[in-house]
Amino acid sequence: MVASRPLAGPARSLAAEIGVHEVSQGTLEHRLGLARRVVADAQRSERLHAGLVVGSTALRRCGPRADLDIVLILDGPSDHPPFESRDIEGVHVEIERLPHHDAVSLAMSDGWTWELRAASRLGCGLPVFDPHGFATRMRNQAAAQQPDAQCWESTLRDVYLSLCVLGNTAALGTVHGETLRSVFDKLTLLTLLRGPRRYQKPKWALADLIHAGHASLCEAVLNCYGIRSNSVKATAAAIGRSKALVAALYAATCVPTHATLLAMAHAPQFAEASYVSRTLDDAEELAASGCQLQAQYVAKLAARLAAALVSSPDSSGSLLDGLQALDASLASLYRDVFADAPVPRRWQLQQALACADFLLAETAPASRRNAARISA
Amino acid sequence: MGEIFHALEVLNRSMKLGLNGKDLLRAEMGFKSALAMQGNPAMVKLASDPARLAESYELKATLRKRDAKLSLDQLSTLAGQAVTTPRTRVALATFKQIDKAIAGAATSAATTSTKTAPLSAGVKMGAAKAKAAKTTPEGS
Repeated sequence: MVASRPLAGPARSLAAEIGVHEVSQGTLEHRLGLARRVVADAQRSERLHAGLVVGSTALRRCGPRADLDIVLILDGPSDHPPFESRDIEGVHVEIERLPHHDAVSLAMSDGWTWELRAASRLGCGLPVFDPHGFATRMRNQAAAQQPDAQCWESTLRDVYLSLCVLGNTAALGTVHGETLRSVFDKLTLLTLLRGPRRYQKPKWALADLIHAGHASLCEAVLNCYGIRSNSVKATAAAIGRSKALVAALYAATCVPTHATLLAMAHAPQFAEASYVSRTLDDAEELAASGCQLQAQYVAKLAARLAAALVSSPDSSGSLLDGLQALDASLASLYRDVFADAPVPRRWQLQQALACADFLLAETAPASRRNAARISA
Repeated sequence: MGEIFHALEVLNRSMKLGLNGKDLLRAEMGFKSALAMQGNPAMVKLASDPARLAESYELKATLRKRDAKLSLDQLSTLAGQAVTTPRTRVALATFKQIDKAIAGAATSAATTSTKTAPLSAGVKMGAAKAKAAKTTPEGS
């Protein structure tokens, strides 16, 4: 997408890494078998419309520690709780119950990250019980959803405006790396929102880019994040630095510790920090699975998400500015996370511009529709 | 004239850039030249010589809200220009013309300043530019 030349270094390693870690047919069948047992068990006391396996198992990328996520689509009321967990043969199973009309309504209208992800989760699910053809209909409806035109245009505008600023900067420096990372984060989001898998979570972003054929964008992201080596040492350093930042930032903002947030699991009063901690935990899980490049990316992205916790949403400054305003030592810890990131180069701006133009060309009808809507 | 010079002076002092009068004049002329090349229709036929341009034209700028924001296509073009040919770069030929004009102005100013009372920097620069305009081959 960004460039047509062959993949180099890290991106090629990443493609190989993802291929190696795709779950085997045997493991998949075993997990689907467990899911069928759960569904058969549920049918004894509930009216089921369908039963789907979703999440990492459905996408064939579950590690040994991964949960088995099952969604039961209900045709009638149920006495069971909407969310339930149990362990079967050493696999942690998460069961979600969803009334049929609620499931269908997920894909009824356009949406942004959250709405598209919720519908896509079902749309990409693997049916283990589906007498009415629910899975196929859901897949088609979820794939037909469009990203919200106004959010789409606003995000793409931000990308172009940032490129104008970077392009007109005579001498690009380390500080501009922040802006470039922000540009590529947005491009990643927009690119993934166009695909059927949407933007599920940071943990899967790079793998989903590769899966959707955007390996060159993936390479550009790795570049601007300063991720070059797939060594265990580089991963440990990236995770360690991000954890140091997160720990100091939580302490400075009276948020419970990273370990406490993970133990709380559901922490609505600290929703954003909890998301940061789970992302950081995902980085460690990826590292444990041998996915070094993805682990580094997720750890560094967690640092960016953490820095965003103390940045005002309407602030025009960088994440670093927000940290600097709070405490200079936090800004220093943040800089450590990206110490390996290179100073942006012109060809990287051109890569980003090509990517943005590709997205613009792909979505021109939608953006023009939106322009008309906004002016009206 | 002098709006841009004044703005540059404010920048110079507030940001402690340490620019001397010659640098400021050079920046003013470069700015006007770049502006003339970018933002004016060809029919105006502005002089390409920065000193002659400064002699005959002044900048009157106002900011008005657009009826509609730039479209994504326009933003794409703008970003493309910025990435491939940043506006921070003024053509080398323009700078050469500016330096030539300033060198001529500086020589003339040095000879006259010994005979007249000290003037303010802005007046000096204005005089220098007017003089430069007369001494530039293309502008004459």
